[in-house]
Amino acid sequence: MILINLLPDEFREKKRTPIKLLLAITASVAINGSLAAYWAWTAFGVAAEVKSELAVLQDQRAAIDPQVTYHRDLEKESQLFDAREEMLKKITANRISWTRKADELIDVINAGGDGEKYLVWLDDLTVDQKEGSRNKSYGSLKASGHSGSTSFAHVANFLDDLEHSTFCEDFNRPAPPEGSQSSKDEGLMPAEIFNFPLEAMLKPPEERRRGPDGKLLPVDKAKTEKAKAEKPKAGGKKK
Amino acid sequence: MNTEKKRWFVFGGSSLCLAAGLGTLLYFQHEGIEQRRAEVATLQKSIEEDKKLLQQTPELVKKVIIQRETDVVVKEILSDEKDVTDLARTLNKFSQESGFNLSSVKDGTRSAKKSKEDFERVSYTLAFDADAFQLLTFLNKIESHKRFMSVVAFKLQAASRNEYTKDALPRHRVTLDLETYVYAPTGNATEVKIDHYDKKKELLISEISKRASELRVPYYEYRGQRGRRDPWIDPRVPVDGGEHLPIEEQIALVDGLIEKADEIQKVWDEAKQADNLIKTMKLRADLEQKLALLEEEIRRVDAAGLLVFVPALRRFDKNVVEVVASVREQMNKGDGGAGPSTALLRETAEAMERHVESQEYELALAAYATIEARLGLADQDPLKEPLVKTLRELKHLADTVLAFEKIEIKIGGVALYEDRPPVALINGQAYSEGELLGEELILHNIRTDQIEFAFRGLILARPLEARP
Repeated sequence: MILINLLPDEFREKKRTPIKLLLAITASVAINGSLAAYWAWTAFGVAAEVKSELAVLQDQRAAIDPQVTYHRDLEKESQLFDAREEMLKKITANRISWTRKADELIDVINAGGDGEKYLVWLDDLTVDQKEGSRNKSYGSLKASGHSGSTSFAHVANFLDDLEHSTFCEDFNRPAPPEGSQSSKDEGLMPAEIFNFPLEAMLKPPEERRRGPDGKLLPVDKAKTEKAKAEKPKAGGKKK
Repeated sequence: MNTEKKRWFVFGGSSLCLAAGLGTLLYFQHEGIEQRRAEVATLQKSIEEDKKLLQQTPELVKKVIIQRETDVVVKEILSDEKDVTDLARTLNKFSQESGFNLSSVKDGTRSAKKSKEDFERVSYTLAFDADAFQLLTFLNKIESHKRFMSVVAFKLQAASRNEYTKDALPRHRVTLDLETYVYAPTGNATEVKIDHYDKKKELLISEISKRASELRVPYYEYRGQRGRRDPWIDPRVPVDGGEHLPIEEQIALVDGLIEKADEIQKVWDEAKQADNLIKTMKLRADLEQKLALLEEEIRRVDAAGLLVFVPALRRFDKNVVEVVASVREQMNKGDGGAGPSTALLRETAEAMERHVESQEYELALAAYATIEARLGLADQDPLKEPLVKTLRELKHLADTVLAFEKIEIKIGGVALYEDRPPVALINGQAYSEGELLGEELILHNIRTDQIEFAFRGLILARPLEARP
């Protein structure tokens, strides 16, 4: 059905935007306008700010990059020197001053006087610093000794002095004294002597490190305990 | 669908499309911003880290300067190829300075260098004969050498007792394994240019020297024999050696005498090279004094049999007696037939006087015997003649006393009376003062504690034995 309004214009109902439409358009404009405004704000505000911040930082980066490269190059050079020094330390750490050890041994032997405490002399001396992985040894000192006395206590006196001397700082404790009496030589004084073996095993390198003053450096306790548990044998065979 | 609805539909659709478009734009915008922010954060973090790192640059520069400067020490400690070649010469020099010669030097194995290591190990095996203290001196020279060397093994076989009771000094057989390292850097660090290097280095001088001393390998300071006996020498003495000094004292005594003999040799060498007569005369006078004193000591050591420890005795013979005898012989040869010098005569006379004062009459005669043969020449020199006379008087005194001591005189007792001459019971007979006991012996004076005799122009006394 076609509806025709025949009323004159002045009586006709005035044409106006329907309220629903108005509300819809307003809502649409408001939402889209807000979105557009928010976009504009992020695009020209936040994004620009972040971009400029990034640009500043990139400039900074570019400025410090050569310095960082310089630093890294220095580090590389330093690391090479470090490695070299480390190798030197490794090489020198294992060295034992045999002058010191032999001198200390001579001191102890001479401390016995002319036989009041002991009169000891040796037939030989064999020193070896080769490490044995099988029996966890770090080297040894071996000698065949003689005590110019009929009293075996003199051998004990000597070994006791040796154990408490600076000589034993680098060695494990020598084994308890043992030995055998030698045949009598009437032409010499003393005529009767005892033969005894002397054998001492070196301590692990970390336990015999010395400072520039020659004194032993403190040892890591955990390492020491471990080393004690793996203590190489000390002592010698009966002649 | 009516137009109104279509309009609504179109309007709604386009609004939604617009909103969706704007939303999408916002989403990507936001994503972009987040991404940039993340970039900023990362960059900022990295810049912060780098700034922190760069704060360490001055310290690193210092470290590198110190390392560069101390690398010289590393190179000094570990030999380069050339130094390894020189090592044989160095070892030879060390052995000579220690008082022996190397009997063999074997170049041992050279370990293959591990790729990352800057050092290659080189080993040597040396063999030589030396006493314990020569060995220690040698070891010390090796261990204290600026180039790093390490003794990894050595074997000493003591000289047998039969060997050192002969004329030679005891020498033990020693073989020694030695290790050293050749410095051959695998990677050469590119040296970074450091601005104002020299200036910075100067400011770090103390740290460089401290670090260098830390890097240097510490060594033991060996102080020599110090009167100690060689423990590889059998210290037992022959049973017929009688009472003797402790071995340490014998060694110390010989050491002291060797020092004096060396001093004499030095003065004699100086005297030979002196460029003017006055200096020569002064040195020879000094030498005569020193020689006379040392000869006196030698006589005392010999007479008392102080040395029974064979090595000490050998050293005494070789380094004291032989040196003194050689210097004396050279001096005698060099006097050009003029006889003993005034200084020699004076020193000999003084030595004889000291022996006489110490009642060492035989030693006084021994001192006289050293110049007796040449006194005839000195006799003709008016300046020397009084000294010769003194020497002869001292000899006469020593001879007379020794001859008197040999005369058997058993004093039974003395009798002293008032107003009567005293009487002494000698060899079972009674004698008064002034009576002759033998051809040359006259009873001179009888006292309560001793009897004095006149013998060959001297008054000599024999004490009375104390009675319980």
